[in-house]
Amino acid sequence: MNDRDARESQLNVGLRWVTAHSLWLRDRDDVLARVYTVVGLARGLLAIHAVLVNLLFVLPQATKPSVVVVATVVLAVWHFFISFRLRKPSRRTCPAHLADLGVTLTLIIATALAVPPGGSPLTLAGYWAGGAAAYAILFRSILCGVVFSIATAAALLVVPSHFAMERAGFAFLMILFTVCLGVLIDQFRATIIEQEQERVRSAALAERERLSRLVHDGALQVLALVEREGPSLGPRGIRLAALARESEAQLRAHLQDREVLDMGHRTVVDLAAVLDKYESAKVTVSTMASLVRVPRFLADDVEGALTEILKNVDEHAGPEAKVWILLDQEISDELILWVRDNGVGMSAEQVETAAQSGRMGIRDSIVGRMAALGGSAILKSSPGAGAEWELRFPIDVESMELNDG
Amino acid sequence: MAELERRRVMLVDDHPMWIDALSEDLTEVGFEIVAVAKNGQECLDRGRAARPDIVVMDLQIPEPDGATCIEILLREFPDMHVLVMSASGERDDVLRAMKAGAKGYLVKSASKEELIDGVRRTAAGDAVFTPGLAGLVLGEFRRMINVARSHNEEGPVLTSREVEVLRRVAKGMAYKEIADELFVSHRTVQNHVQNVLRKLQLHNRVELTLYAIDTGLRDLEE
Repeated sequence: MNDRDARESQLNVGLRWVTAHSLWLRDRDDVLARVYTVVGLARGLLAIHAVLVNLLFVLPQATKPSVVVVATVVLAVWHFFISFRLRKPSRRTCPAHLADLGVTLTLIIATALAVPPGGSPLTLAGYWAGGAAAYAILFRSILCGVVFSIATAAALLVVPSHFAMERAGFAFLMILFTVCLGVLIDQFRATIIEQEQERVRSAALAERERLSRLVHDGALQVLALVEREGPSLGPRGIRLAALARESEAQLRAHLQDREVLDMGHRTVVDLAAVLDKYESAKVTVSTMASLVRVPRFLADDVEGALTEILKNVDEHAGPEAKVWILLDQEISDELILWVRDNGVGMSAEQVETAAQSGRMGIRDSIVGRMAALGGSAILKSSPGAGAEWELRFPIDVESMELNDG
Repeated sequence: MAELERRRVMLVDDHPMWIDALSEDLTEVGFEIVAVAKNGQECLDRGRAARPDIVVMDLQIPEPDGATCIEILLREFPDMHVLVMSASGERDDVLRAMKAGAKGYLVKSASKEELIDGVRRTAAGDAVFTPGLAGLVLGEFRRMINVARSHNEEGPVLTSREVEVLRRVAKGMAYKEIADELFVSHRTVQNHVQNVLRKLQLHNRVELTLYAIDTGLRDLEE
């Protein structure tokens, strides 16, 4: 066991060393860092190639060797400078890219001054010249990258006496590769962003689970105990128990709040989660464990009707009244919501008058809302026997399935 | 008579204060606490050693969790009666415990009277349902029927009477009120609830077998 631990910690130290030392190549929060490392290394290899070609093959034929040497040094220094500068997202400015392009173009044009025609088929910048466009497409946009590569291509072909087939071929390939790279980067960026969102979401869920365990182990247990033992301590104990009951219900509702699961689907919500929020010391909510996906507008209307019903219970059913909410689905395209209270109840005449005079929101807020959804609302009540609303509303199964993915 | 014989209780909870409160209340009315456990491993060990008639358990206990303990214990001792008590009421845990064979479920904030009544009914072999559990079970049947239908199989079937009873329990009605409204006896209501629970547990076994066959066959094909 200890042996394994030791090996694991060695491995961890090793991993940390590698991560720490790769940071001088890339920024920790930079999504493009991995691509940039690859592109940067590739451009570095092209720089080495250009330097070797310049010194070994171009220099012996040069009319002005000093210009070739200076250009080669400039190329090497500039490559390191710009590659390090662009490590940090904040330093990837437009002027930096333009300067990169400027140095590249200058090296290409300077070839004509230092080397006789045919002496340097690929110019003093060699294949490295394509790098400015690659960096631009990576950090700016496809358009910017293409403009850069066309500018570089134009420079390659602008001095007629130095024209060579290699230059035309290189120009063509450079534009082609830049465009391909741009398309790939775009897709890569989208994937990375998706991954990042997924990571944030699962981190949020994990954190909530951790909190939920903590709260369960502490507060909920104590609250439940106070609630249980309180009444035996006399009137003050009863008050404490009532308070504990309230906080306990709130906490529990909080822990069961499933809305975080729906972050990706703003237009579709889980109706069960919406109803769960109404759980309190007075209100018991019974729903299924699985998600009940409905369009947001439907959930809003159902919530509107429910709020009205609960308000009526508060105002008319008496202080002792409790409420039970049940969501059920008998057939696949209809949901049924019951809201029952055990309050003082109403007679048929009372309901009739209230509905006709537009009181208690019966006509507009409850029946009207359900009718607008293509559903129905029925109230059963009698004096002394509480009241029970039965709300039925259709759900569009197909659109729910479409939204499922 | 039967109730008197079944009075040996094991309490499973990771909070000493709960164990104390529960054991006090239950000894007062004549139950005997034969074991207490504060985590899953203790629950299994002491359950096997003490063979209680009744297990009152919290679901959120240190490994293995409550639902798993119920599965294991009931496989070994099918006539143990388990009553689940949970503070947080995590739906999936509760459903899993009920499918594993628990007789009933109470929230921890239930009053002393509710608790004693619950343990008595568990001892007698009756199902103890809260409104929340009734809604959860009802939803679970809807889900299982849908799944079965999409596989072109016959799912579990609730009779319309059972649905009626379950809905009324979920709407907070007492068995007595339900009995009056449906013109049946209190016992009949109790039986309906019990049947629902039995079907849930039975179908769970069927589903597990089907799942095993399903995955087994797929393995063979590969």
